[in-house]
Amino acid sequence: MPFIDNNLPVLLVIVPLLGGLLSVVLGTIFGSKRDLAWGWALLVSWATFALVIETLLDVVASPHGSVVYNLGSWPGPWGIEYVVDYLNAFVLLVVAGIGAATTLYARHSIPSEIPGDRLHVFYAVWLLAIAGLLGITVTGDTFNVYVLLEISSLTSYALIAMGKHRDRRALLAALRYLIIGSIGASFILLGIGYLLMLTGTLNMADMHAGLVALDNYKENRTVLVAFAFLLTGLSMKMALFPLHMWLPGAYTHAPSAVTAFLASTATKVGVYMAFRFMFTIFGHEYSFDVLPGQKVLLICAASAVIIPNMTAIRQTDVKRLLAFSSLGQIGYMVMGFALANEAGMTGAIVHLFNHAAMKGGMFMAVGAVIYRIGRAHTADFTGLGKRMPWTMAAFSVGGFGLVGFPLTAGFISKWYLLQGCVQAGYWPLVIVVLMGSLLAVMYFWKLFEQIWFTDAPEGAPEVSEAPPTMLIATWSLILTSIYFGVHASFTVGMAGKAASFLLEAGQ
Amino acid sequence: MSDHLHHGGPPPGEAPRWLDKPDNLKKLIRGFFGVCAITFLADIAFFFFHKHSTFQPAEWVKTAEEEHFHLTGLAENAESFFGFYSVYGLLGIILLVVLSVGLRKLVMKPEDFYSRDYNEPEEDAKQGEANHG
Amino acid sequence: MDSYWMHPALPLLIGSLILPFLSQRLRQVALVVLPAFGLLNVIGLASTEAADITRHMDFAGYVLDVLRVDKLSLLFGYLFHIAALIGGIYSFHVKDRMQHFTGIAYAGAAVGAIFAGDLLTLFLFWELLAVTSVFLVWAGKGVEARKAGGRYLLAHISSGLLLLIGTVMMVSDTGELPTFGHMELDSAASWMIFLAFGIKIGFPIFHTWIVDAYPASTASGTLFLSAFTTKTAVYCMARGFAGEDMLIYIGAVMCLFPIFFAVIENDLRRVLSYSMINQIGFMVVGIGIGTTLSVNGAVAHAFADVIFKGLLFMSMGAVYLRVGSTKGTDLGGLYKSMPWTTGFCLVGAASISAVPLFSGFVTKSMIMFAAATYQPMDLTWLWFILLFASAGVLEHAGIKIPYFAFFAHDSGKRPKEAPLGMRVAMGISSVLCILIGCFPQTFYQLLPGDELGLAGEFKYSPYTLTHIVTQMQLLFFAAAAVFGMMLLKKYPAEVPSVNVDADVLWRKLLPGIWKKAIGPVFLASSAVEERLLGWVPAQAVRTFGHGLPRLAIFKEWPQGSIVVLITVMLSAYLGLQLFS
Repeated sequence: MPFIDNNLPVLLVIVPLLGGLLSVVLGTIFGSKRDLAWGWALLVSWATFALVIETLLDVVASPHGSVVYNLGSWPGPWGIEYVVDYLNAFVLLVVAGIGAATTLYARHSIPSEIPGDRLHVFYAVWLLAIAGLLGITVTGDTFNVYVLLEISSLTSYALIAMGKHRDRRALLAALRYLIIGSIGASFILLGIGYLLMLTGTLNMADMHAGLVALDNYKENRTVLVAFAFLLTGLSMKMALFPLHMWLPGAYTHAPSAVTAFLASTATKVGVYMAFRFMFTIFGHEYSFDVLPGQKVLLICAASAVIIPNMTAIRQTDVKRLLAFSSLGQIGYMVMGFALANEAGMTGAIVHLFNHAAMKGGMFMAVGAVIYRIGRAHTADFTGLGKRMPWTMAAFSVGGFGLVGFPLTAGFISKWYLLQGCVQAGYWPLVIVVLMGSLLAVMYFWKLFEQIWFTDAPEGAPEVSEAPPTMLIATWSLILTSIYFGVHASFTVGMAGKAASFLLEAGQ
Repeated sequence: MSDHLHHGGPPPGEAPRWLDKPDNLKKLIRGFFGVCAITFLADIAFFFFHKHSTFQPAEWVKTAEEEHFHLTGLAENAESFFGFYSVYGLLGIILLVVLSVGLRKLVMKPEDFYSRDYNEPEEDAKQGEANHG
Repeated sequence: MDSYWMHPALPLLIGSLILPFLSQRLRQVALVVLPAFGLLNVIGLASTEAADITRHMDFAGYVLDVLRVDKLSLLFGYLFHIAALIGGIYSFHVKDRMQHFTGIAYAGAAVGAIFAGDLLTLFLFWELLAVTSVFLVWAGKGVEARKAGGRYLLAHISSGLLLLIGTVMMVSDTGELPTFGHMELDSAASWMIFLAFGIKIGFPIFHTWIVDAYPASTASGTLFLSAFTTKTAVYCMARGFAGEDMLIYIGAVMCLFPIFFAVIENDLRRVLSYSMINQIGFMVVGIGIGTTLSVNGAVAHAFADVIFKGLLFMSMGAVYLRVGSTKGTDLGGLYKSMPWTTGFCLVGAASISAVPLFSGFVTKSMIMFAAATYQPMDLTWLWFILLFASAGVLEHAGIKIPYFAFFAHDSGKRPKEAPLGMRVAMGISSVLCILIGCFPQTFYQLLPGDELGLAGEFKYSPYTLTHIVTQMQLLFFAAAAVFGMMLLKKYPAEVPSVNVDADVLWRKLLPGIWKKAIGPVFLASSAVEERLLGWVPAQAVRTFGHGLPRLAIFKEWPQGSIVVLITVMLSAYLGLQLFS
């Protein structure tokens, strides 16, 4: 349909946005029916996913590798511009894909954690969160980034807080996230404000042109301040060590489906934003050569790989363990980007995708355990391999991916990341990456041993396998991660193009 | 053998085997040492037949580097001594056993030397349970 | 893709996937059919023109060369299929599907590694080897097997990581995937690869995984383990580092130290594990000397070793299955009820001791002869060491194992004879040992020979009068020394004990350092995370008073500290200007 084809970039924000609002309307008209609310959300999320795939194909088909859309037909500097290139098309794919899979997963999981009369509201907020994250990714306008960031953040706070029916601590975690997130958002707003002041535009590409046009922009204090505020704010959003403390609590206490969704998408979008700002607006020469931003980021990333992974080993709540492990994985992504060479960035971008698939699948598997047992302490996993074999098999395969075992997607990321480190000549980072793998072995191993090699203790609850929708969603992500671990040409090809695009853009 | 470590012995009522009879064992041992002596004396044969030294240069080396080639005297000679292999085998094993007995003083530990470290995890898991939530 | 033969790893790898779904009877059929089919496939490959056979695969943006066929890889190809066949028959009685599945998959991974044409392919199979084989260690059940398996995995993952890094460095240097061929130790990359091979081949100090994991597995598990991992590493060493002088010294150490431990070790399967390191020492020496004769000797000895060491492990496995222990102190007099096993064990013992007409005689002597005639360097000392080690082999593998298990003091135990499958497998191995020993020239034709492209030519005949007589003198007098010392009651008695080895480094020292030194730092780092200020020392004492860090309490950060930290980060970024 030409209408859809011509308006793709904006439709993939509008559809979940309106879909979310309609969810409330539907709930008011038809009353709270579990499958109605879920079915609607599923429809909208899969439609969005289809739109994203369409957009991706457009990008691949376009001669210069990007699609530009002017909102309201207002051209460039005045109107809001949506720009889709290889990089954000790839991130869009992650967000929409995970959104679709987790919505499928939510059917059984969410009603067990949230009272029936709130379901419509929940799915409304849920779709809004998807819209927000997609919007941030797709837009080429900095203020639009801020607005959509607020949408996605506010909805995330709400989604996490809904975990209170299972775990009262969700409220506190959400509040904490709200406070820190708001500080982060205001830092980002301040940064954008300074840039607007300097360049008189909100459009990213024009901002870059405007900055370069400033005769003394390399010494300009205002640019520096803008850079500092943006980077601090974004570090908070992507939970880069040491500004990560909001994340473990939020992920642990949120409803399972929410955790699976946010863990695979929200921080990735944060990473995307940070490097979009650094490469496209400031230019990597300014970010990395004029300012030693690279060193700071690499140090933060390396600490993120080591320290949270160590903390993960000692956790007794599996959700929290995975949350800490996510912090380490964010470290890998930031490291790859900050290496600013093609191999490293390819590794980082491909890891955005691979980690989303693996960790999303693992969080779903843990969610299934919570669905059956009511909680997910490490002790509850003892001998679970016999009672929930499919769920635990998915969890284990995902774990092998986290370790970076060959033929899983994690290996592909590790391979390119290592190559990036070697090419840049950062030997300590090579060791850090390998240490990260070994630490992952350590925390994953303990669980693996417990799941498969230990007999369930006396009086362990009799549990059956998770319901089919949960299993299908979990395995779809896990199989994706395996598929792209073996046939990585699609992901690596996309990521490679995105990397070279980003490196050239900032010249 | 230190018999106090071994229990058992053949179950009562079982017919003793050929090897169980001390006389037969003695015959066997005598036979064995006899064969040893014969192999030792086989070296005499080498007075009549040429004993090939192992330390011959290989054909390819000989042709390539004939000029610079000379064998290491000691090894070649030692190996061609009368009864060298017999003596080397005998003394080698005696040395081996003596040194090993010395090694035992250094490295022998009770059987639970490592396994006694193993009884922690369960306890910790319980503790973790209690500490949580 | 003109050739219709399959990639040699596929029959075993794909076949292994269906094994768990078959009934016991069908599994037994598959255990014979899969390796036999694989063997025919390899023979077929060998008969095809080498240039016609290539297989490529796209992976992670590279084109992998997954099939390289030459005489060296073919030799190991035959060997691994024969070993898988023997192992399959030997494990007929096993009910555990997991062991059949992982055993065959493990063999497939080894075959894949052998035929790998580039380093990334090698790495993929290298990791697969580690992961499939560890399940065989775990199959041993019990805490000991579980822990040993964990340590085994750690050793092999470390080896894999080294290989990975070395490969990545080579890729970064040249921009393309390095083929797996001869390497010089002239770069960090090749050093890492050397060390990766070294860990798997059992270099001294890294050898502990062998003596640790093999005795912990089941009867058939140990057989599989003994056949593939170390021999894959021998193959890789021969291909990658033939002629590397350092290997001569390393190999000499590997020949020597295990024979001392073998004398005093009580667990006979552990004795065999030490014996394995000793035999690999001979191979490493042969690879290090690096002439055509010595490397051929090394791979020939690897071939023979898989068969005769397998045979010894099988006989001990049968004892383990029937008695439940292979400790010398628990055994004795078993020949009365297990005559077949005793006989097969004696064949294995004769082979490993290099008795004429048995396989060890025609393979090991190649290495020793190559050492004696090596000209660029004086290796007389090495020859004396190897001769001493040969006598030592006779002591522990030739006499101690059969004597303490089957003869010695009658333990009064009358276990049943080994199951039929086991006896058939042992019979096949025994026949192979004798065939290789009796028809060496036929066997030598399978060896890569002059194709290796090394100095010297491949010409050797083991059966000379001098060689036979001197070997008999050495063996008989070594045996005389053992029996003499036994009669004089000077021979060390078996004692229930554990002998510490370099494993004390991995199992006591490292955990000790972890607990006493790294642990507190570890805690401190997590305290940085959990509480920015204060309480670090107190917390350290409380958590690390004993045991590994398993702090279960998770303390959320106070909002105040978070805001402080945000400010710190902001000032850090602002402060960047100062450093730029």
